[in-house]
Order: sequence, then C-alpha cells, then structure tokens
Amino acid sequence: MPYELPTTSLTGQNQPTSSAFRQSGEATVPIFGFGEPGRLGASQFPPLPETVKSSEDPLTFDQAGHLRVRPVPTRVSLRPSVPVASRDHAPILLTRQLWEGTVTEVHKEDFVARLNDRTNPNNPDEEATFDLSEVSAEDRELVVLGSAFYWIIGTVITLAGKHMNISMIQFRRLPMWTSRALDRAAERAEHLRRLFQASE
Amino acid sequence: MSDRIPHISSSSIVVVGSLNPKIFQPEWFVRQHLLSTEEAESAQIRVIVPEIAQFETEQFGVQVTLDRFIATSKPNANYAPLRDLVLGAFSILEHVPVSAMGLNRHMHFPLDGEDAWHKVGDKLVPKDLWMDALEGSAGLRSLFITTARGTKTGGWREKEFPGACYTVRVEPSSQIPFGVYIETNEHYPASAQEPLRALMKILGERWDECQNHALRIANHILNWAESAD
Repeated sequence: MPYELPTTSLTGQNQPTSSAFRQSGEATVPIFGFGEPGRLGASQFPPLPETVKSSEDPLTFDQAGHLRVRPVPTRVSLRPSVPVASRDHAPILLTRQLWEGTVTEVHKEDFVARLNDRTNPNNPDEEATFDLSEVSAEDRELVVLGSAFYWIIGTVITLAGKHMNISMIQFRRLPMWTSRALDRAAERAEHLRRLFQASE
Repeated sequence: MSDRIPHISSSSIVVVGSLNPKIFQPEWFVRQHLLSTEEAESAQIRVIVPEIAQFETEQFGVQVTLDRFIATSKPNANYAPLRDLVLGAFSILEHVPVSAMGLNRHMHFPLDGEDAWHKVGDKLVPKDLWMDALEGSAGLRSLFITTARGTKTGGWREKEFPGACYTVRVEPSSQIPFGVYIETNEHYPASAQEPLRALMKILGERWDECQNHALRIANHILNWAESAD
C-alpha cells in the first residue's frame, strides 16, 4: 500500500507568488543542490502535474464486442489553498522571548503578574508590574485577577527593512464556563468529597 | 552556534473529523469570547457556504470543510493564541466526531548565499545517483522524513503518543531568495475513548513544546547541512 502523508499535514508552501529568484541571475554551477536558480527556483517551479484519475477505463467493450462508453467525470473538487508562512507584504515579527503571565494584583494604573517563560520552560517563574497603558484598548476589560496573557519581546522588521524592538502584551481569550461544564465540575467535586469522607 | 530564527514563520492546527463549516464564522467566535469584536469586524471573509467556511483575521486564518478544520497563525504572529482559539472552539463543540489532529509549524530560513543554499540540498540528498541517471541539473524539490518512534532532540516520545507520527518537510523556500523552507507535522490519531477531549488535552499540553521543538529540529538540520564535511 503506498504511503500517504498524514491528513493533518498541510500542503507545504503557498503557490509560487514572487519573483524571489529572479535576482539570482543565470549563474550556473556544475552541481545544483536545490535546483538551478533563475531557471528552476522554487518561485518558478511549474505546477505539479495534476490528473483526474478515473476508477474505470472510459472505453471498454461488452461481451458482444460493442464499444461501451462509460461516463467520464465531469467535475473535480479541489480544496482551496490555505495561506501559510508567506511574506504577505506585512512587517515581520521575530519573537525572541515569550512569557505567559497570570494577573495577581490589579491597581488603578498598573497590574502585577506572575510570569512563566514559554521560550525556556526550565527558567523559574518571575513577577513583574505592567502599566495598564501597555494593554491595548480591546484587551483592557480582560485585565482581572487570575486572567492570563502573553508577553512577547521581539523585533519587528518593517517593509522598509528597519528593525524595531518591541514589547507586546496580549490577553488570552478563553471560552466562558458553560453551565453544563460547571455542573459537571460540581458533580465531580461532590464525588471526590464523598470519597474523602468515606476514607476517613 | 546560536539559534537561527526563521524570517517567516507560522503555525497551524488541523483537526480531521465530521464538521459543519457554517458554524465557523467570525461572529460565532466573538459570541464565544474567542475573538475580539474589533478583530472579527475587520475579518476578511473569503467564503461561507454549507461546504466550506474560510476567513482571515489580523492574527488567524481559518478554513473549515466538511472533513477538516484548519486554523493558521498569520506569518510571524504570536503562535500561542492559535491554541486558545482551537481549544476554545472545540471545548464548546465538544461532541464533534474527530479522527486526528496535526500540530504544524512552517518556517522559512535565509542562508548565506547561493553556495550555502546548494550545500544544504546536496548534503540532504547527494546527487551522485541522480546525475548518473538524469540529464541536466537535478535539484531537490521536496523532502519528507517521517518517524513514529519519537525524536532524539527532545520533545516527542513514541510511548507517550501511541499511533502518532512526526514528519519533517524540507524544500527550497518560495519566499526568501536562497532560503530553505522547513515544516514539521505532529500527527495524532484520536483515541477510541473521548477522542476530542484526548486530542484537545494533547493540544493544550504540547503546543508550546511542539513549536519550540520544530525550531530545534530546523536548527539541527541546517547546522548539520552547513557544517564542514
């Protein structure tokens, strides 16, 4: 049986969109590790051959020798491409450090949070104070005791090529507890309470 | 050697199952408190019909067909909120029948010019065999390596995830001149018992490490390929 890629793998890079390799000129070297630039760069790959495979040969003969034309597929379903990891004419954010924070105190002008290093989980937790003005307006209502957020330290490369160091706070948006989930948690708590009582 | 950082990077989560695409509209995500109103209002809706829903926001791309849910982070956006979006959606849609989940990272790395670029391709797939058989300059176009036995660079163990597999794809970058594209896929089949809950537990626990591990794998490949013979 032929091996198939996992169904959860996407289809690789986006379709070639740029002339990324044109600037490489027509340089030639004897051995090409990645193909011949300028003539066969990734941006210039011809589309892979796509054929619609019919399960049956459309031209067959019946037992009397008469030609039977089987229906030929008239349409094919193609999955639209999903844009992933393309330059997209937007600034580039290089994340250098990512923390996950939990709000432990909220004041009028600032808030205190415990920080967990997600880039290097072995680092110990730290505590820091953040000015509320660092939080975007649409996230302000999420700054409450116990809420979680991401703190990113990185570099933004603008379309003009300028490098800017940034610090960005983004509050996590998690689903509200449903009454069903709360009921289930209460049931489980009651079950555990009975277990502990029985073991005493 | 210091870690290389991809110049273009994004992440994606794929859930395979039986889905109702029409549910997945930006307004639905707002109602569930998974997207801000501002982000949903500025979303670009590509298509929403019974068979497919596809839209993009400032941070995410979402495509849902009858058999696949795909959520991607926008290039170089923070990958962490993508997990919250998917965890949130499927904790609400807790009865969706699912069969597998994939955690992916897509990265484009620049190299030090054309020679370094060829060297990576040649070391990964030496051309001696091909030059004896093919005319012209044969080049590596796409390479897949898959294992179901875990990885030595930490982060993924076979015994923890029975039936799962890890795939790495290497290609010349279509976005960066003389760059390399590396993609990783952690594929998890659903368990028989509470399949969706089990997959979401993996997503919750694995996501950060999955993304960090993908970067370690990419650095391992490029450092090895660019090292002296």
